[in-house]
Amino acid sequence: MGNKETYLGEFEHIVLLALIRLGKDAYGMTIRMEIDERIGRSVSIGAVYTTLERLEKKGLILSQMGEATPQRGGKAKKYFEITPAGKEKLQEARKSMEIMWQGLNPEMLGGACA
Amino acid sequence: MPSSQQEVSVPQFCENLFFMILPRDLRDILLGDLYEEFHQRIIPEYGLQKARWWYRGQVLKSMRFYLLKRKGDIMFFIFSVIVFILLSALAAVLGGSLNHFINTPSIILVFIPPFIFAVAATSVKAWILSLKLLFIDQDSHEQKEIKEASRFLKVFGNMSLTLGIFYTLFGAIQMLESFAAQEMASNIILRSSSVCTLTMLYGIAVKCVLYVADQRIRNRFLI
Repeated sequence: MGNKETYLGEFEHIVLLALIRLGKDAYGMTIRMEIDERIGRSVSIGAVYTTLERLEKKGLILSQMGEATPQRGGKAKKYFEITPAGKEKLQEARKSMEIMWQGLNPEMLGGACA
Repeated sequence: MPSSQQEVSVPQFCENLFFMILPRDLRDILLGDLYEEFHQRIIPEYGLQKARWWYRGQVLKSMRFYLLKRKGDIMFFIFSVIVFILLSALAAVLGGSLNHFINTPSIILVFIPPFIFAVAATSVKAWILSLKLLFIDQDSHEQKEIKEASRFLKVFGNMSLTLGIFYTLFGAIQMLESFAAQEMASNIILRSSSVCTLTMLYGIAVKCVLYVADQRIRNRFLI
């Protein structure tokens, strides 16, 4: 059915959602902070960029060099944005998750279930 | 806050280490992100000391993603030299004692004169550039300068090997003279023969390492 290479990993999924939330202000630091603040997962900047690089290779995001500012010690930043293919992939992943969650009851999980 | 930002620096050692490990195209971007978050969020929230630990943690956790990815990686070069030294030491220990293989005058002979010869054949600038190219990614140099740095390593290695052979012959002549004079005891002759052979051994070892260093520079910057 689907292409194996384009399945979204869990962290890829999270990064894509962070990109959508951040809009035009999505770059390494803000993506890392968004993930940390929203789900309390403190990831390394290396993990974020490795994932971004992979997503860009898959054609799910685009990048663009930004300005160098004194707040960054005179170093340039790189902005990222999700592509239509990326949005489509997110929708597919969400649908798959919803299908897998359907019909599960609390007993099956040994606790509360939505 | 922006005024105090310049006064507080990120941990320099970690920044330099990360700079060396990161691929060229990501250096500014990642270091800039860490710098910005360090000043804008971490220091105001946790204070300077904790912020420094946070920075170190980020560098350590991020390093693994880049350590094994780079072409002609410096870590592999260092690793190969360490393996070479350890295996040689192991062979020495298994064959008797490590002390039999350590001789300071021989070490000096295969390092100091070859280094001077190499600087004379190229330049001090070529020597410094060869170190920079070996340990730090730099693409802002002309091909001519890179070739000169590569030549420095080649001359150093070749001269080390040549002088190793030269001093071995030097020692052999002295021993033959001693034989002729029939004045020295045979155990002293054997000791001298061992020492002069060590000089050649060191010369070959230096040549081996510098050959790899030279090839590393050629592979990354000239091919």
